[in-house]
Amino acid sequence: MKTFSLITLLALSLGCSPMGWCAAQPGKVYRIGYLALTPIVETPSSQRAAFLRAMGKLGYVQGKNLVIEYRSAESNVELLPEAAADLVDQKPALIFAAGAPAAWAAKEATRTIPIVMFAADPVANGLVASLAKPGGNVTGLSFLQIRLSPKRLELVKEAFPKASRVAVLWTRNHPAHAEELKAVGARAKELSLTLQPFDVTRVADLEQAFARMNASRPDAILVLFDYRTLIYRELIADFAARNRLPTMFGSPESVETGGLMSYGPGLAELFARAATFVDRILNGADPATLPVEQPTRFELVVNRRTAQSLGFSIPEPLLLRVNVFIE
Amino acid sequence: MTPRRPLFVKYAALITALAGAGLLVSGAIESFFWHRQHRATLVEVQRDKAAAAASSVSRFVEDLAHQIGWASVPTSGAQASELEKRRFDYLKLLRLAPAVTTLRFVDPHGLERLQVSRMDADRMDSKADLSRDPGYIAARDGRIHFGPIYFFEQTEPYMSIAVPDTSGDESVTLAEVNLKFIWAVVTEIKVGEQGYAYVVDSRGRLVAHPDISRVLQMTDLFVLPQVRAAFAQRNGNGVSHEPVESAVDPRGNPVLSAYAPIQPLGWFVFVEQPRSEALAPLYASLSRTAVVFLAALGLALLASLVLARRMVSPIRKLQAGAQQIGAGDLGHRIHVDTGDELQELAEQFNRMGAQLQESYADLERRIAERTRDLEAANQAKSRFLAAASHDLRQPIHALSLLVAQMRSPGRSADRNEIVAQIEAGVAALGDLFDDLLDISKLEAGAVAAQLEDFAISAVLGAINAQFAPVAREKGLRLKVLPVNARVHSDPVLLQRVLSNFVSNAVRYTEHGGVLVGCRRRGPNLQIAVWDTGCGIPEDRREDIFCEFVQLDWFGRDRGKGLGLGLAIVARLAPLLGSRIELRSVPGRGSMFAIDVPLAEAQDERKAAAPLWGHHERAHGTLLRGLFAVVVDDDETALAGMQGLLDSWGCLTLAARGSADALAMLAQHDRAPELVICDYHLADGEDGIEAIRRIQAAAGCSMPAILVTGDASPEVLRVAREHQHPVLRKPVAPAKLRALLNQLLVEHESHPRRGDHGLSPSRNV
Repeated sequence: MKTFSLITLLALSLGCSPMGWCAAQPGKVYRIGYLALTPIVETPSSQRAAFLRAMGKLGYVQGKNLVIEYRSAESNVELLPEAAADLVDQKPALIFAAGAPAAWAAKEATRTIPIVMFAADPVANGLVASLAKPGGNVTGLSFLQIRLSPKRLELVKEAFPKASRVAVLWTRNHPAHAEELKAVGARAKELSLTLQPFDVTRVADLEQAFARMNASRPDAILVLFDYRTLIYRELIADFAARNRLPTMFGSPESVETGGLMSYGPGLAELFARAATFVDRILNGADPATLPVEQPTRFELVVNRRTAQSLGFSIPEPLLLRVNVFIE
Repeated sequence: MTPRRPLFVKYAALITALAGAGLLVSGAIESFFWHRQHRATLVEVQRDKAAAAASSVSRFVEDLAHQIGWASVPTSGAQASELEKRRFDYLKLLRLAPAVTTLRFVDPHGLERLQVSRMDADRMDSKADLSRDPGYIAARDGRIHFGPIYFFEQTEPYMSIAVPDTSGDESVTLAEVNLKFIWAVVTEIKVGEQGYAYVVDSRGRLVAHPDISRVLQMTDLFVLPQVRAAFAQRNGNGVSHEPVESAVDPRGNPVLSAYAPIQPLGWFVFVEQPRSEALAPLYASLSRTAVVFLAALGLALLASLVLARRMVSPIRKLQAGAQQIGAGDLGHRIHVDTGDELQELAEQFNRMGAQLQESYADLERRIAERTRDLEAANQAKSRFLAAASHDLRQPIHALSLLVAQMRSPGRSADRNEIVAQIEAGVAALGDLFDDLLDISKLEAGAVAAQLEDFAISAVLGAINAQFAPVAREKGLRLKVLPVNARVHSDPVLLQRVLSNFVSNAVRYTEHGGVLVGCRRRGPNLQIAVWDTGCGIPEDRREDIFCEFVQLDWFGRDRGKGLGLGLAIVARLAPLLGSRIELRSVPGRGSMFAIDVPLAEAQDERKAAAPLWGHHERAHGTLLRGLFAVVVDDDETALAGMQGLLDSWGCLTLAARGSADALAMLAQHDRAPELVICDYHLADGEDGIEAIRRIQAAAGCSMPAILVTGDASPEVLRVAREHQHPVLRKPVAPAKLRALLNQLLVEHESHPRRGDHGLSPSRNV
């Protein structure tokens, strides 16, 4: 008993906690894979930066004991499976998949390598069996779309009480967007709004959507969050700006680039949280037993400049909800 | 010798064991008490932390409730504008309390009038019936109600809080709170390195944990014994507040656990620390103690080795030294310088060795001395014999001349003259031998004094009779003063002493006289012999009592004596218990005196047969017709003795041995009245045996005399045992006669009287 305790003591003294959280072990070099739809550029996006920072805090430093194999589909969804397979061939300790499409591709590519994903509605997406017990080799952070999107619509209505028609940009390939659309539709009915759903899976689809919106102008654009829509955000913002249309996005990043509003959890925060998952799995945790974490804070972010250019003044109730103003 | 090792090892082991035991016991006791104290302290600390954590969590929830309460500002009514205002308040609250997800306003009728939510839809005036909601029911009474925990989508922990309106109109705000926000509170709580805290709800389900994923899995911790114990305690099952011994974490590792209830929620916060970490200091201390113990043991071992060596080395030295001394090297000295009992012991050994050396040296010296003495004595005796032989030869020479003269025919008157001279010569020779043999007997210690009370006048008379003629012849006056006293001494020996004194006095006095007188001196009677002789120089006073010493004096009668007289006196005096005193003035005279104790009873008693009476009887008729047996294996001696006895008128049987004697006696029907027997008979027979046989055959114990040429003490002793007088050859007829008289008289008067062994009263 005493010996066992001593051994435990020794083991624990190496930096593990009884909860299983362990920081990076000294002397070991960790190799992980990073699969993203969007291109990986030298300067990391705010999400990736947050992730790397959080990893650093846990003791994983790129160049010292951390090697990240980046694979990107260069904004091309079709290229994801190939990138995923390539990454799997590198035999990393785990794969971090940013976004549901990437997570899907990674899950298809391997059943054994743990996947830490950041995706919206992973249960609805079929990525995990349940939030509490993911099962399989996938776990990570959820984005809560199905529940939040109706709220976004509601906020749009609150911001623009006179609005009656709202365009909804969604992607057919996103497994959960169908559900999301349905939920938004239900809420729209309650709010006496008409929806104009546009499937913008491909850029061509987006341009087509723009054309159609030009034809029958909506009162606002609701963008369902997705990595593709994330990629399109600037385009959408430009279009909206040109047409003096308010936009509601799912993540603050879109607002930074010109969208009017967004309501949802902060991506950076979620990516930072992902580092914890990576740490635990690198230290031997089984992804099947790590529950998926949902966001706790939701922020209403408004771009003041966009608001000004739209001539939009925020009504007081909404003002109370706003957390962050972006210039 | 092997014992050398065990003592050293024993001491070393003993000292080490003592030190080790002491260290062990002290270490064990210290560890035990420290362990107990440490545990108690740990538990204290943990309990404090649990209490603090409980209050933190409780505060968080209550703050939340209060915040919700602030949002429930009293309104005058439930109108739309009021609702609008309320909506604003709720929106503010959502800003302030990120934990609150949804707020609902329920009017006094139980209808929902407002819902503001982060995620769900906002509703205005839905009028949904919430009157059954337990939270609403409880809050309606004015209490803040904390609902049970539920897990949204099986993963997110939520709780409803129902806060009554402060207006008191039974309207209620229902709030849904995401309990993940408690996580921050719980994560703050740290115990040591690996201690942590967690919160369980009233059903034992995990509500908050530093590892959020545990919470999200709806972990039921009721399985943990410490959780069960806490609930049992709450339910009043009487479990003590002592830390649960078997507390474990969900992985089964033993932990030290303390809990505190979070009121009013009915939750518990547990503060735990892995037992290994909690007890790590103890184990560290134990291992420290063990290391110290081992080190100290090692030191003790070293010290014990040194100490044992120091203790054992002097002992070894002692042992080796003793061995050497025992082996015979008495000069060996043991050197031990410990300054304690061992050194003393060594010194004792040395002293013993020195003493032994001394003793040996002493012994050797004494042996050398004795040997020297013996040699000297031997030499003296040889010298004496050499000297004496001259003196002895003289009478024999004279005798032989006389005997030769007898051969030639001559006148009977001349023959008688010659015979008389022969007699005298024989007597003189006999006296010389007597002296010699007497001194030998005295030397051999074969003489014992038989002390008795008697009248001194008897002895004095004998002396007078003995020496009066001699003195007269020499022209000296002899005066013996009569005295009426009884003394306690031995008459025969006393007479001998006095006789020697007077004899010397007469010899060494040319003119004047000799006086014998007595004087009382205390309890003694001093008998003194005064003479007016040449005196004794002071430097010879000791010498004269030595053997064979005679003072040179030109008038000395060289034919008389061997110088043994005073030597004999010197030996007789101690036997009598008497002291000799000598006073002398050279040229004027000397005094020799002997102190004899006075008898207690001084009245006259019938004296035993006065000795000098024997002289009278010597001429008596005792011997006539005496039937005597003489036994001797020497024919000449036998014939001589027979002839002598016959000349005295005895009837004599002469036998060669006892068998012979018995045969002869058988032919006579008379028992012999006297036996004279030689000691050494033929065929190894000894005289005593022969006498006994004859006595046995005769049936009575007649007087018996042993005659022997052997002067050895053994003979004398044996004779004394059997109480036979002993005469030495050559027997002086007169002596024999006197002895016979004495014996026969004694035999008549009373049974055997022992013979001193000394030659009886001397004839000059």
